[in-house]
Amino acid sequence: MLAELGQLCMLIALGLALVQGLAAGAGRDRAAGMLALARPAAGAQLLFALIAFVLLAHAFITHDYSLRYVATNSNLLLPLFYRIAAVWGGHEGSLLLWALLGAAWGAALAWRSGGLPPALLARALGVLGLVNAGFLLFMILTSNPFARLAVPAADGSDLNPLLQDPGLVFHPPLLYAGYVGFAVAFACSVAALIEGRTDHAWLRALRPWAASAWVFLTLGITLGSWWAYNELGWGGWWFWDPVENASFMPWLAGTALLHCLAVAARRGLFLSWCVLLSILAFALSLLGTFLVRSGVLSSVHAFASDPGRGLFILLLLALATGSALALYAWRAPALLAAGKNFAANSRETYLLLNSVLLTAAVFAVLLGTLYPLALEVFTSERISVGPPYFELSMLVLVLPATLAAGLALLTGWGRDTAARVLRAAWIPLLGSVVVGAVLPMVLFGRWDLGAAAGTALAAWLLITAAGSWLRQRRSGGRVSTQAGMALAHLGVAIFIIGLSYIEAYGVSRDVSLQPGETVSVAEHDFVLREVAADAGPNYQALRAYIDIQAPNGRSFELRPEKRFYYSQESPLTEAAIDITPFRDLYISLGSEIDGGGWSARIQLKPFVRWLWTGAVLMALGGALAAWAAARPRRTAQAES
Amino acid sequence: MTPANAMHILLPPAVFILLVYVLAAGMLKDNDVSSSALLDQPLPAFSAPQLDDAEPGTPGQTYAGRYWVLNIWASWCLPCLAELPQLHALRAAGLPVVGLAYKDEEEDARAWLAQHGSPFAMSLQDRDGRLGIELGVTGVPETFLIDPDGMVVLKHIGPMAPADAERLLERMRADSEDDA
Repeated sequence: MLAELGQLCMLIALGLALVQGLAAGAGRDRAAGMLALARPAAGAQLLFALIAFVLLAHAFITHDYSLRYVATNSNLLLPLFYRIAAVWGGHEGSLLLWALLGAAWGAALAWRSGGLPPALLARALGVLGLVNAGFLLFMILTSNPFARLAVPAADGSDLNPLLQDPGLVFHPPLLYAGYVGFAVAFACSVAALIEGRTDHAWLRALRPWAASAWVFLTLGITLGSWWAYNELGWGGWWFWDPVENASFMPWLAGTALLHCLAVAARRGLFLSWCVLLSILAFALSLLGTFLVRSGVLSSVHAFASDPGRGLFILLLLALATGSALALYAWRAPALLAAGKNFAANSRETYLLLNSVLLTAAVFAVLLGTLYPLALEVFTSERISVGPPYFELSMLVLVLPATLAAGLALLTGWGRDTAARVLRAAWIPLLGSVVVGAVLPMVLFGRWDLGAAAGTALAAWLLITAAGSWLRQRRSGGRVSTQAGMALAHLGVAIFIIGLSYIEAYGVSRDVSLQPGETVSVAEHDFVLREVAADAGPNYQALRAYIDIQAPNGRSFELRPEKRFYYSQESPLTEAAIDITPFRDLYISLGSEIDGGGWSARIQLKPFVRWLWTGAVLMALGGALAAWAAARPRRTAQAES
Repeated sequence: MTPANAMHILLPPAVFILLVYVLAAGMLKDNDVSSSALLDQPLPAFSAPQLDDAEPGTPGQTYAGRYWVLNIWASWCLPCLAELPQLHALRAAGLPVVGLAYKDEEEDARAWLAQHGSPFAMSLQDRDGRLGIELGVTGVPETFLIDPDGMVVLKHIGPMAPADAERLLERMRADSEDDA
């Protein structure tokens, strides 16, 4: 009965989203009336989506295996925590989560429109309503999470054990919040294109929404990477898997958008570029959804593939992006005519360079991800594109983008002289090079070009961001956006340090451990004490107890496991990790070898935590900037 | 409209249309290859170094006279991990599954098998990918079904879903009934 109620709620939410969608056609004279309709519709849509979501969660908690979705993604032994996470562990439920988050963003826009003129707000809400309606329709027509089995199952078939990890519980919600969040920036841009007004009010309103979506996406990707590191059991943190790329592309586009908006909000320049980037960020979010759910590319992330579902999302992608681009083509002449007026040597130039390079990086990743597919479509040949391609293109495109971001902070708005920029830049530049040359040497006692370059780049970002922030503080400018920027750049610097030190100084050895014998790897001594059996709630485990003596005299124990889930054929490796701020010691257990010994892979990963710390700092910086960008509107209104 | 402006305006939709076309065409493609150089041809006789034996393995001789499966995989390939349960299922159904670690380091391949559980009755390696060229391998994973006469009767490209493994078994049953 409750499941039928859930279906009903989804239908009502769809109706409300369509009502909200009517507002897309609101003219300036009917805006007030349309707002009076769209605002409560957005709120009510959130309410009904939430009820549907809670009802599905209830079905999981109470083991209602008469629902097909519950029966395929849970079982009686699954702990409560993961039963709740299983609500979005499969295709249907994750779509419901998507719809819920879409409704939440819509309600947020309706509630805190942030100084958008009524006509623009009405249209933006309308566009958002149509996007949400598309997803609700998709779920109701092809992927109903409340569908009943003809014969209720006695027990479910379990959530994929790889997904039973705290990191993964929050990874999809954050990621989706980011994906759907870009729908708000998209809706605002499309609304502005329909209205034909891309002015300061629109730009200022766009900024906090774009920044908050970016924050969620950053956190979601970070958690995903952290999860892969902990759970996949082999110590990697990024695999250039098509679906990882699918989340990375909107992130890059969002980063480009934020940098571009920094110029646009201040100088009224690059309007067409901002519009295109908002469309691009959301189109790439939709593309990510398509790649995961259509089975078009093979990936560990892929849900059960179903061409019908893929076709629906492709249609949604084509409609949303196609109509937005058509609108853009219609309005672009006016957009392009405005704001061509900036000097070559100015902060604008470098920020534009940064966002163009980041966009180029988006297309490099897109090309690498889809090239095998395109080649196959056109020539029936099959190839695969590996990490070296992606690593090289990131190096060639993102590295100069990072340099440009630092240079922008040393250059004045409007027009600057080369002499002054050079005067301002030479000390940070020299400082970065010196730090780069010295620091890795001091830390690791061994020279490495990559580590030196990474350190120098990190120092460059850090010095320029801190300098800019201090100058703003001294002159009493708007500190918070600058502080947000400085914090985010600090995050990037920390991330780069982590990345380059792992690449340069990481150690990985495959060893065989005999009980009682000492094995040395990376100046650590390892002794296997015993391997004992243990039972978890829904699995059996073999757990190795390994005593470790670190070079600094600290001794500790690590307990890597092999888990045999009752519902799965193949065992899973549960790595054991000793974490300190400056290195991780990562042991994954292989298999038993003759004579009671075990094979194992031991990895020393210097500064690996800095990757995720850096990413979290980026997100915090973005959040601070979003908050600061949302704030001055009130003072502006008070002044006027 | 200046040419530069025209490009500005027309380029995004053009790129987008191409993208949608590729996605649509890619989605509707079939992953079972029907026109391949090797299909319905005898599998070339080959021997390759084994991961767990000093002697080179010759699966064509070892499994002559029965159905067997050749799976091309690599430890660096995530989809290979995703299809692992299907390989276990094939093995559980009584089919010998021969693994060929393609362009893989020996230690990596061994560690991967130890970590995730080996589904392979025989584990071969092709470090430089030369054997792969001979077998017409286009990427990992790929799965071949070979009949008792040594003919390749089915070839699946990409990771197998449970339904794909099921289809492979059905094909084998259908073929052996025809023969009987």
